[in-house]
Amino acid sequence: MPFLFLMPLAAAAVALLARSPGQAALGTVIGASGIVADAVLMASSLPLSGGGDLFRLDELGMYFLFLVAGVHLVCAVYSYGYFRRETERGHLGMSKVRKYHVWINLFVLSMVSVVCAHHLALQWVAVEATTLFSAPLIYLHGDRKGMEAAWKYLLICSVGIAFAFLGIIFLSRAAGDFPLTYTALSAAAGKLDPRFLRLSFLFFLVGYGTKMGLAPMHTWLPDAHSQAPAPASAMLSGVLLNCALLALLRILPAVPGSYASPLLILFGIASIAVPALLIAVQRDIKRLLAFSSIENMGIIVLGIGFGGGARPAALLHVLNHSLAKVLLFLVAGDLVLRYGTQRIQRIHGIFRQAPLSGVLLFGGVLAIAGSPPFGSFWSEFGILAGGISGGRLAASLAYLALLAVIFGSFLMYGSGMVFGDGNPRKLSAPELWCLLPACVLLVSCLWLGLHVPAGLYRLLERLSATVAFS
Amino acid sequence: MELALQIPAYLVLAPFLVGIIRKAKAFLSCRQGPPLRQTYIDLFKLFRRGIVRSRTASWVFDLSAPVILGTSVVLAGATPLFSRAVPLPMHFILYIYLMSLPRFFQTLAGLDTGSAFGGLGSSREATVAAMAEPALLLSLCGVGFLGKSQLLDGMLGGIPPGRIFLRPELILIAGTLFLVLLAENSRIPVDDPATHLELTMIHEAMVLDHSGIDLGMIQLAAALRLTVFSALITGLLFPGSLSLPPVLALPAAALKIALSGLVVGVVESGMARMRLSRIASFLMTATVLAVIALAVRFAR
Amino acid sequence: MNTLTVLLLLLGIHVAVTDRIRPAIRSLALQGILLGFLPLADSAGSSWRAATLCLATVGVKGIAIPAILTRATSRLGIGQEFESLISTKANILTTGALALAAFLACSRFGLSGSDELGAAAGLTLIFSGLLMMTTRVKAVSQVIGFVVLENGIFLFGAASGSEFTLPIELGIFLDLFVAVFLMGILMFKIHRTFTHMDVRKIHTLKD
Repeated sequence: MPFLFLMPLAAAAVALLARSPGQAALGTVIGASGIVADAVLMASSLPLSGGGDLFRLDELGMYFLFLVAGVHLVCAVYSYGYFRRETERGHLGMSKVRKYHVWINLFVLSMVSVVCAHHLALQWVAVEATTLFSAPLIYLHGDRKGMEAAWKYLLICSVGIAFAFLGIIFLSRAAGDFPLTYTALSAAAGKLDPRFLRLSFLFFLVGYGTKMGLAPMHTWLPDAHSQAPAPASAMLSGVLLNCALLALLRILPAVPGSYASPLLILFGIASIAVPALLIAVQRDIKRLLAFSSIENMGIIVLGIGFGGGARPAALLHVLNHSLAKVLLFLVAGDLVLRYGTQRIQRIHGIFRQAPLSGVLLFGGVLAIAGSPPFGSFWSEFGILAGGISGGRLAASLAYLALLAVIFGSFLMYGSGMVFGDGNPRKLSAPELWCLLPACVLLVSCLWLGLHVPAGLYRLLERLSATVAFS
Repeated sequence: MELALQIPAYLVLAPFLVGIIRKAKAFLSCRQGPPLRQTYIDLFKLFRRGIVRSRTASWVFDLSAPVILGTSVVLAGATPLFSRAVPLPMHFILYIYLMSLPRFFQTLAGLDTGSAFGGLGSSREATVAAMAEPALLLSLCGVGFLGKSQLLDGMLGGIPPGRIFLRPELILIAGTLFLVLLAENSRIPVDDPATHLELTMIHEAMVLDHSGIDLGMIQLAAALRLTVFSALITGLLFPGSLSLPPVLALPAAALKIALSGLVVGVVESGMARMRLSRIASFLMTATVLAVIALAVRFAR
Repeated sequence: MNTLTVLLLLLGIHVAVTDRIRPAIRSLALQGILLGFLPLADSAGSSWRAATLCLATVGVKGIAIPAILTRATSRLGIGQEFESLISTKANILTTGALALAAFLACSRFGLSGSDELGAAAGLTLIFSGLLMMTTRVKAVSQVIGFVVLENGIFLFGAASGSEFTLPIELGIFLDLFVAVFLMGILMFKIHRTFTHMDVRKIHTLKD
């Protein structure tokens, strides 16, 4: 396990010494592949523990670790092409690129610690560290909007996380003599002081919910995710939110479902409803994607809240959302650079001018909206089915209606951008290293939609048993 | 014996306290300052002088000075100084109302002469007093809870002895009372007793039209009031001083009063006069402190 | 112990009600130093652990963070006044009401363990920190509010008797320090690009 922590550190050191964007990106790619390789090697010998009570990697952690590492690898490859173009145009100097690679690796380090943390207070420290290491990424460009977004992000998330710490304090009161590790807590589920446990869960939900961007604590998210450079946005949306989700999932086994489930459903529906309204009137492509992240986090939380058959579907949706959202952010980042604008209205006729980008964008839009050939259709459908069979009819219907609204909006934006007449200005040439990662992601989205591997399905069943309410 | 001595003791200590404050302020601004006996001399001088009164003034004006002094003497009789027993045991609500009775007459007298400054001072004084009231009430409530009595002497005497630094609520209440003392007795930062500028005066503006024996009575009453507050606060901070043997009791009382005089002098020298509009914030802070003191009392 | 808690509470309230920045930062520093004595006052832990925690608290909360804030205020030429959305009087009254609410909450719901006063004081600090963050206009004062909030949580945690192993506690301090450090850097950058520190005027990003 120490290897997991050393790889990003080494990559950050390489980035500090790098003389060109290529060298820095190479270091990050190697670091990312190292994490992936290490994760593959460790996958057979789970659970692993280290540092006494502090670290432990179980299957759930491994699932999220693969997400982090995989997305990191893809984004690292993409960042090579992205920053090469940015530096060629003079948007960014080498020092900024170096900064990006240093911070992104530290950011990954903090996320790996979230995933591997066993003690909940340590996990809290790691989640707070993710905020701190990702804030510099948001104002990388150093413009007004970036500062504003970073300021909001830092302040709101720090306060949110502070609430989560109150949750930990209450949890330690509830736990009494039990150590605050997730294994000990799930083992002691029935023996905890219920009053403090409820308080603790509430604060966890609000605290980590802020970090996940659940409405109404989501206000920082669209700003932060739209201002960061594209690969960083992809990391923020695609994996950071999941890490916060994991932090929340860890205490679920200790909490009685009768208390937790309605709260999760409430926050879930709110987090789908608020972006559903805002997505319909969005003008900025990256903000659109950021709102969609809020919505998808809402879907996942809703699925966890439904419980039963919806739970494995929600965990599957974590994967599907990550793939589709990272794909969209990467493609959108590329398009924003090539069109020179983030305004949705100014981007049109992509298919005519850059067919591959058009296919990728439209595929991504379909995937994120939950259209049939893609994986997210199945996971969203599974959550709906789980909700209905669990007797949560009203919530399920609301969920379905909101999904329809979002689907409509996305289809409208997607077709508006992809089809139609091309932009009068000639676009710059496509960048191989930007498109290749996106292609990989689109193929995996499609693959998950056509065929969920039996092994994955069994894994999800096992995982959902470990996060079931007590 | 002790009971009979209390009011005379107050009357003797009151000018002494004013003298100490002046001395402390003079010392801190590197001046010699008037000797301690100067306050006594001033008072004697005033008591021997005749009265010049405005032709428009009515009987209210004539009545005010004796009532003010009389009420202050009654208050002095109710506040423990050197023993737990007092000549006039009093419920604390009555005590608070008696505290505002002199002010009522003073503001009336200020208005009565029809001079502009009197009215100005009266309105300001009434405002400050109204805002100081809740803090005073709440902190005396707090003392009552601590001493488990509703009588003023009972609550002060009932405070269990112990190390003061281990009892935050006591310190808080004493702090609140000190702020109230500053406001109620027209000290800096609320008012400046030594100012010569009528426009900035609060308390002094009201007594501009009093002279001779009336002025002497009012000044003595003001000094008494300050002494009563000092006795209240020091009684809270040093509960043990109320149960000393008679030989030590009087010197201890003088020491307490001198100490509070020093503190007032130091505070006054270290602060600037506040804008009139900020007095409200000042007294609100006092009220909030009193609230917190009560909360702390019940948090145990 | 109780007196220490009440001192912490009073300092927090001073930070919350004063309308000047420098005295607020000074009170914050004093509060941080006093917080450092909390682990020492608690006799249960081993002395090494308590000493390390004391040093870390005093170092981070008593010295480093106030130093960052002082530097930011003096370098950026931020004025002395806090500039709040609500008047000083309303601020004082709200703070008092919040303190009362915190004490009531602690006694009614039994949120605390043995040290009810500490828990209530911590909760008051948390509330007043949140109040500062929502009503104060300048970026510096929001950071001050955040630090008050963190101190409140620290006090609340100490009163609830929650303690973790040393690496975690140190990690918490490190996080807090880096957070304030980053906020300080951001303040400098915001100041350079916006030429003002008024959070009200930072709203180009909206829907």
